[in-house]
Amino acid sequence: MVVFEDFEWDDITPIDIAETTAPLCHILYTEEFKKVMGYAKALMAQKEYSERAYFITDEVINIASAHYTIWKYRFDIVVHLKKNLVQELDWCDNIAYENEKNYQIWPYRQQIIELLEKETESVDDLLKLEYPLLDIMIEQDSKNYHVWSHRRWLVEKFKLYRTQRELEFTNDKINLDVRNNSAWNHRFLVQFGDIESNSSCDKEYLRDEIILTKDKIDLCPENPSSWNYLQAIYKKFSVILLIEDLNLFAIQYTHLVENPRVISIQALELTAEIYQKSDKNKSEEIYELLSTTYDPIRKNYWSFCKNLLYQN
Amino acid sequence: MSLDASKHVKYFQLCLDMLPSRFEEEDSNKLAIVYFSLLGLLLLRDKQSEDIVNINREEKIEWIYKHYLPDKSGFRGSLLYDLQLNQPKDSTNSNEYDVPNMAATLFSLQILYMFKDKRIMDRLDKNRIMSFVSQCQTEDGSFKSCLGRDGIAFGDSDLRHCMIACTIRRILSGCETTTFQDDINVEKLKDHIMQCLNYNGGLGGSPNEESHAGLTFCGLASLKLLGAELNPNEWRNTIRWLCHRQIQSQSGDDNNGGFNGRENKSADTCYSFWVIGSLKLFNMEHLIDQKQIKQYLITVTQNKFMGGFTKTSEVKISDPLHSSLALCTLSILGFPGLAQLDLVTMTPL
Repeated sequence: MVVFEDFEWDDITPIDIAETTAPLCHILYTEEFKKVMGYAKALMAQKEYSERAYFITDEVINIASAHYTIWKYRFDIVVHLKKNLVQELDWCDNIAYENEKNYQIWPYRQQIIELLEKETESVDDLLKLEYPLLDIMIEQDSKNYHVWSHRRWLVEKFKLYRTQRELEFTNDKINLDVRNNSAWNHRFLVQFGDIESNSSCDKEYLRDEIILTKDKIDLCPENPSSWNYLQAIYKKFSVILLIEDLNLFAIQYTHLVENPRVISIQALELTAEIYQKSDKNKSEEIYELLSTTYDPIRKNYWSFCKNLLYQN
Repeated sequence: MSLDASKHVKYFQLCLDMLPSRFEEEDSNKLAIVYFSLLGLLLLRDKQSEDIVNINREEKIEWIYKHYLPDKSGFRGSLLYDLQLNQPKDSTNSNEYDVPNMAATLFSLQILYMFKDKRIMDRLDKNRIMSFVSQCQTEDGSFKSCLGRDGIAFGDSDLRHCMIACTIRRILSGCETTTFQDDINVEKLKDHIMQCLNYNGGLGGSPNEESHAGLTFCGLASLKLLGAELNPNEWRNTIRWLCHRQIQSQSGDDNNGGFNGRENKSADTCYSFWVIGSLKLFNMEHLIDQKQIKQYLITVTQNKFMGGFTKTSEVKISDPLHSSLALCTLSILGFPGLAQLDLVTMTPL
């Protein structure tokens, strides 16, 4: 491991990090913080791109990863010193593991990937560097917004729509937790992100996806993620798919059939919407039931829906 | 069900005073801590909280101006970035690593506004600040968080930065319709925000990202700030998604009545604000169960020991963001004793 003493610092005069007392939110900095920041500021002031500067950026990021220009400084050093980019991504991995909620790390990583892209012929080789990190981080926190967002960036950048790897990944995550909305959202991007609404889409392909989604709904009929996903498919391809066709499926989870296994709020809501055109009384009755019995916390919202029935 | 106002005043006072060394890592977010603490204090609007804001007011204002870059383009997030600190000032300072930051600029403006700094418009160069903001806008209409000396924007980018850009623009233009030498591309920005509308009705941070209540507020508030009329009839799906964020807990656990930020997540204090604030932009805040959310905030996340509010029932330590957003929520809901919140500038009226 490289340590501070491995470098020569005698020629550097550290710059003060802040006034002795700030009139607002005075932070009681530790001596270590003052030392690292003082040297980092001095090096940044003289725009030094060196090994010791490279070292100090790591130190700063470890104690204050929200520092937004240290990332730019590090990137400039990596470019000037022609650092090994694969090793730089390895370094990013470790920082990401320790700073799950950090905003700066991801655009930095994407900048490095874009540099690496120019050197590498194969996108697969590049992606091989990304998957282990993403897999581990999503395993640790299956709904980490930053990590899913980075995965979205990869799908769009490298056109990974409907690739086996991405589809299997979302399958695994949904099988693990059918209520993982991040996984459903990612699946929608992977399946349909590059397709315009109402453009031609293979009907068989859509049918398979609808069957899969219905199976997942049946596993957990009170899961808004899968219901929203199902309706999104119908809305996106409304020229070839009719939302009314979902009625028979949805009513299975409502009081409208005898002995329903479970009453689902989402199924009731969809059924009420479908009946809006054909049978307003039935819609009204469902909103009433939601309001009084199944979902009273949203009673004002359900009565708003009910009132709208007669306004249009 | 009552608000322990005096404890909250003490809590915010503590945050504004001195912070232990574990806050080092938040140094770049210091202005956010100041902003949320001041907002909280002013919402509590009692004699004691006003005194805390007013004591050494001039000195505090001057300290905020120290964050204003010598080239007048914008504010830095902390004096840690000032590479000429305690040295003779050079107004041509153009170091690549001491650059304006969008969030820091907005928080500084809001703080100066809350301190009622009268010289704000004389000391700030509106055109230079808007020039910085407009240069942070990227080809697709979105904004990045910082501007490099080479004129290239860098850093993270999502709907938060769109709202930051719109709010800075609104505060700088005051009440009148000011035109700026360099302005942002409003049409491109609106298009970008609409691209972030997700299939379930919420908005994500960027196109095709998962809906998130905080980012939904940022997107809607941006549209409002740009002068768009938010017609509830055109946003039915979004209103539906927002109303579904309130949690009806079957088992009667601590989540009941609270709001989550995404489907199937637990309740969190801040989402009560992001959701109710969003609904308020449509004048639809009556659609949620107000009694239950008040109960959630007052009985579950109000911190009776140290004051302030915690993020969830499991977290034991309050933080300034969740504490002031809880008060913002209660203010929107007309909780007695709180000042009104101006949702447009996110400062108390």
